[in-house]
Amino acid sequence: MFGKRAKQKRQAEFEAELAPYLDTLYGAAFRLTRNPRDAEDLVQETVLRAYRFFDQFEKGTNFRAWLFKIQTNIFINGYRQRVRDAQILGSADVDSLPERIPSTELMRAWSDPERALAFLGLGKEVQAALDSLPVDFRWVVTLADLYEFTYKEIAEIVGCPIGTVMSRLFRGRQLLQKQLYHYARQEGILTEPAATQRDEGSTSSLEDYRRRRAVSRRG
Amino acid sequence: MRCEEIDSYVYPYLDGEFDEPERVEFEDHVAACPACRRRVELEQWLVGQLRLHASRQPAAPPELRDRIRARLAQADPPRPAAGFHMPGFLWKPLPGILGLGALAFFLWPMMGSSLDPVVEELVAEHERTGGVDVAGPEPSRLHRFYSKRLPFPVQLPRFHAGQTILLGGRMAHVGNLPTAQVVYDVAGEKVTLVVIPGDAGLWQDATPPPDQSWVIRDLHGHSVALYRKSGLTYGITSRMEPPRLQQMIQQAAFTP
Repeated sequence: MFGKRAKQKRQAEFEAELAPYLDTLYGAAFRLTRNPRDAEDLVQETVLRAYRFFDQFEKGTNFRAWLFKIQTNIFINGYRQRVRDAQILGSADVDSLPERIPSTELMRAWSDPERALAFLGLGKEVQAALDSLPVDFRWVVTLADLYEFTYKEIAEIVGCPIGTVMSRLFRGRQLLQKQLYHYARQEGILTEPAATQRDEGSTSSLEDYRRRRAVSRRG
Repeated sequence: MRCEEIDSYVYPYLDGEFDEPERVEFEDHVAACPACRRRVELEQWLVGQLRLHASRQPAAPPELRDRIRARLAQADPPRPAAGFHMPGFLWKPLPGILGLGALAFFLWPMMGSSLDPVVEELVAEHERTGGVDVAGPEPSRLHRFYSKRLPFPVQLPRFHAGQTILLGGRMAHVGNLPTAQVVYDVAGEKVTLVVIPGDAGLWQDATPPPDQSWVIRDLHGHSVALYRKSGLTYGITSRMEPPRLQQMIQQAAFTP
């Protein structure tokens, strides 16, 4: 049905469409699988499947989102077959997580930019904190923050309602902050003064004011 | 807007999901409330840090690129889509078709992924090439063939006559279960019907759809309609768009 030349032409068209996204796909696959070998396999499978269904893709629509959807699907199914654990996309028990992560002391700690910057400067902890999230949350945070997809696109890619995207994003980001805070405490970069836990409400503004003054005088 | 609302909506705001009036209302509050402003700036700063550090990803290794190119050269060319088409992931149920006819249809665009292990199998089976074990076009021949080989009845839909040719049937395996696969040509489009026994084994990794109603899922350019009854799962797979497949099943009034 297809001549050799026609096939080569089609392949070249596909490769041209794909070229700008290959690194992106690989980076995203790395986020999903957390190791280079699985990431390569996932990308290869994604690309081959995208090629098979290339004619079903309508030109001018969102090729990147389409690729991500294929990749997510393959990951979900492959992962399900390989590792039957509770962490698979689409099945995380969202309700088992606390409704809100208490964040008063968290915010206070992070609001000291100098200490936080010194800690985050290398970026190692940021990566580690992101990778520590359950995959449902990690993937939605990754899609929103690193690849800047809209909520609607994320819902299409992951195959869940927008409300679920929002709650996973919310909890994912809160978990991320909590994890970063945890690392910082481990490293002794942030020490939580005993007073701050009881220190809610009105006094916080004075404390902030003093801290800001201290920072600006040093800078 | 109240402070608690700022707390809840800081992400939609930062993610650019707010419309203009919402954005104005949000920013009015934040401008007047130092605590909320601090919260918003902090979240913004953390997303910035994440983007800065975590987006530094390794590039795809050259060996991977080479391997992909080699595999693409070996791969079959993409199959041209028949009829009108929409990209699968943008597909939404057409309101005019939804609810038409006597059959109950569930469209499954949102929770689709819970069906996917089964849908994937059906798509793979649909794409398998090779001859049939028993040729059409008489349904009686297929009935006879399957009655000797399978411990359950295989009911065949009567799709719109004149457009439809019953090409034949063969034995297949889905989820390691012996199944019947019947192949039709509907106006030039291949349509396969698979009848799978043994409910429990098949749906082990997926959430089954409700009993005795059709559910349509589109995946990787295929539409798959599923129907469960008395421990049998009927799957109809095609590359036609979901609304067309749905219409076809409704016109045939096919309920096993």
